[in-house]
Amino acid sequence: MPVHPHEPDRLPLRVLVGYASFAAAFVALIGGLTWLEMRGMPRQWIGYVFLAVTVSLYAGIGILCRTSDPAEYYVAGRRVPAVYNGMATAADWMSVASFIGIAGTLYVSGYGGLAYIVGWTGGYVLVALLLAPYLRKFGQYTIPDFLGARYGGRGPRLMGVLCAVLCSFTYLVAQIYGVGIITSRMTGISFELGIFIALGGMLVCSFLGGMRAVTWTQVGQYIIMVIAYTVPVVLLTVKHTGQPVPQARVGAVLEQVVQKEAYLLNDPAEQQVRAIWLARADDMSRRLDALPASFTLEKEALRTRLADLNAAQAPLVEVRLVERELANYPADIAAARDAWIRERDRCLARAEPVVPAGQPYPAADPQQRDTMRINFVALVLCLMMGTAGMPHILARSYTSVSVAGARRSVGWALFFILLLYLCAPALAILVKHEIYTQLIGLQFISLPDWVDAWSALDPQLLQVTDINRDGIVQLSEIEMAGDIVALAMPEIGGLPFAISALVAAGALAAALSTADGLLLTLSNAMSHDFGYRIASPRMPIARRIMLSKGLLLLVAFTAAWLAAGKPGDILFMVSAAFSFAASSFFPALVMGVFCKRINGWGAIAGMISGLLVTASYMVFTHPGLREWAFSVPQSDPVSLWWGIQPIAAGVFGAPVAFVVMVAVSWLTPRPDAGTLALVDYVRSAGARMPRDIAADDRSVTGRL
Amino acid sequence: MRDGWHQAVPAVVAYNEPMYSGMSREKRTRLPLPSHMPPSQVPPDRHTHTIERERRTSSVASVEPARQRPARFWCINASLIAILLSIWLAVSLLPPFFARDLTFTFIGWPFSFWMTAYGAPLTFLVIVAIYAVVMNRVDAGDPSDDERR
Repeated sequence: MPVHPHEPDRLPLRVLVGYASFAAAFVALIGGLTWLEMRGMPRQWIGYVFLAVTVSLYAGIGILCRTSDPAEYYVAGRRVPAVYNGMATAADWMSVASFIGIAGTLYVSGYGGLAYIVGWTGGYVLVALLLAPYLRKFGQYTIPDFLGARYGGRGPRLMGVLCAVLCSFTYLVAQIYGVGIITSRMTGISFELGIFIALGGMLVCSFLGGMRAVTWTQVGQYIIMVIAYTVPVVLLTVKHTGQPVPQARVGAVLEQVVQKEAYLLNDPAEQQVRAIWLARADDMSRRLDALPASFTLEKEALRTRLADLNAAQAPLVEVRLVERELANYPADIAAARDAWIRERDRCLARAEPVVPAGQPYPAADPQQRDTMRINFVALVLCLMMGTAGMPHILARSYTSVSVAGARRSVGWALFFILLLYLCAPALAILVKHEIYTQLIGLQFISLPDWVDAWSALDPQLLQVTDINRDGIVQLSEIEMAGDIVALAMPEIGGLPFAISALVAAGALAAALSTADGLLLTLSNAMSHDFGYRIASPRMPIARRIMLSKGLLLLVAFTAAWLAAGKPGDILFMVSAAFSFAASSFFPALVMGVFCKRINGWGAIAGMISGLLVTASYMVFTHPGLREWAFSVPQSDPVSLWWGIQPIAAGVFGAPVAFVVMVAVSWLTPRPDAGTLALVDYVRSAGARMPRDIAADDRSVTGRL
Repeated sequence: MRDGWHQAVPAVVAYNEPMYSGMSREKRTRLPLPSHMPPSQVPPDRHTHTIERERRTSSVASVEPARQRPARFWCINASLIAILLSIWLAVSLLPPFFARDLTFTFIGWPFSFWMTAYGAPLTFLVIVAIYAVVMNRVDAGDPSDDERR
């Protein structure tokens, strides 16, 4: 048979020119807004322009790419060239947690935060070597499709649907929550309205065009993200080192930061502030020991103090402070215990010297160092396996042109992800340097504007209080949440507000692109795998697409409703998703390709036991979850296995899943000949794509 | 078993034949697969049904040649994966494990920090690129390629 003359891995030049001019127009927009800002354009307007431009762009691509063809709707017609598929995967992958979280974690926990970089990039090696080519060769629509075909019957497919929902839904809620935060910060509109506008643009895109529209939107979103992340870092690097390459130059800045930290450790004023924090923590411990008597005593003490202040005509600020404390006084003894424990832990954390920026496992006690090291390694492994089990990333291998394209597109995805990830350590170090040199030692009267702006937005994000009343800012007086490091970085570095709005637009693109991918994964798993394959296999194609679109809206609104309730501890839920993916999808998919002996019983038993081990480790060791499940107070000590924190619970679940899969499969009949033929088929060579898909390829490619 | 009307018509047509519509799902899936089609020619939408039907009719004879062909290809693939995964594991676990001992300076950075922040991710990129290039080359030159048989 002659090789098909049309080479589908090359899109028309038009697409390349289109995206290049889009990037150029976006850069011009930033330049224009910066110029207008200097001419006196109000800041809020800049935010509005960015929000309107980006959201209408996403909706516009959705309208251009509208489709109701199943191959187009589910897998973008399997004709996305490797480079663009890589960009779309990168946008799919990089969520708010990547865009904002990594730099923040690196800022707060120094070397420990690198576990996320290693874990989230190392996972792509697993995707490239163990999963993507075989899934592409298999060539269906969803990940549960593979489980259903490989392991036979409805059980594995249903298990796949459940896991997809488990892994993706909390992740989706977190993204939409992030959308609300970012839009309200960017433009000043309310949290709910922000969710409504941004989600609206996104839904137009995914509702009309499915995976096809989402893919081409994600390429655009990636371009916005990479500009928004690298431009400010490069500008800051130039400002501090005179050279534009952060990866090469920031090492010298890190040295200065380390020296400053060593100096601050022994600075008398810093020690004084830390001693005050420690005294406050001791006070809280004293109160906790004296419960329940201290509950009324402390309230009385507050009232007396207020009366004294009023009598002495004290400054209004101090009176207000005590009044607020009295108004927020816990309602009953149990609430007081919780509040005081939280306050004690907060004060104890503040009393600690700052975590060194570059030193690995900074602890005086060798045993504690070993615990930190084992936690680092466990988190790396858990994140790697979780990355390789995330259904919305794996579904991307279906959209590439061929098996060869799938292999290449993972490489491109990792390349595009690294463009951002390799800037994150430099970003964290540069912000630290700015804080150490610009903010510390400053008079409290002359605090910069961004401090007021961010602490007015939410005191949990940033709080600078004069603890020792010397009128000068000490490092231990700054309480800064990691989440604002990336968003506030342009303001901290003294860049124009247009750059701040640009970073917010990038973060919004990150949240929306990931939310889009997750939404499609969820609605496809529910409609295609459950609604069509399991519940009603004779559903006509048009009905299947309608069902998918309906479920898409339903899932989006449910997630938005949950996100609007501002759930607590959302970061833990997101990291739990990685543990669940690591202990369910990852073992089942890898064993499905690499071990012929595994049968349906083994797969189901393995996935269930992996999930059970992961979930129970989390429930027994995470204080918040444990309180919710067994009403054990949060202050009770938890017993960890080898000191590994619940965030990396997947390292226990995944091996259990593998072992149970093998054991149960060996005890039950071997898979039949048809299954073996499928495994041989996905393993066999044949990078070229099947003919029947190539046939109608040119017509639709031409439309984009 | 391989005789009958389905041999003459492509799978898609056969599957959408009106005579199928009245049948139960059980009966439909028990019908034999149009065996003249290699798996790659079965449209992707039908592939699962193909497999499920093949499972039930269980015609080992048609499976056997497919099982022997990819042996060489799979051997190359598996050994390349083994080599690359051991590099992957070493790069991701050894530097963090010995991080406190690797204190020397490397191109302006503390080595342990540089290795975890930049060295390991860049190595991952190289691993993925090597795998894609090598396997795509092996794949293109493999005589067992379904498409050019």
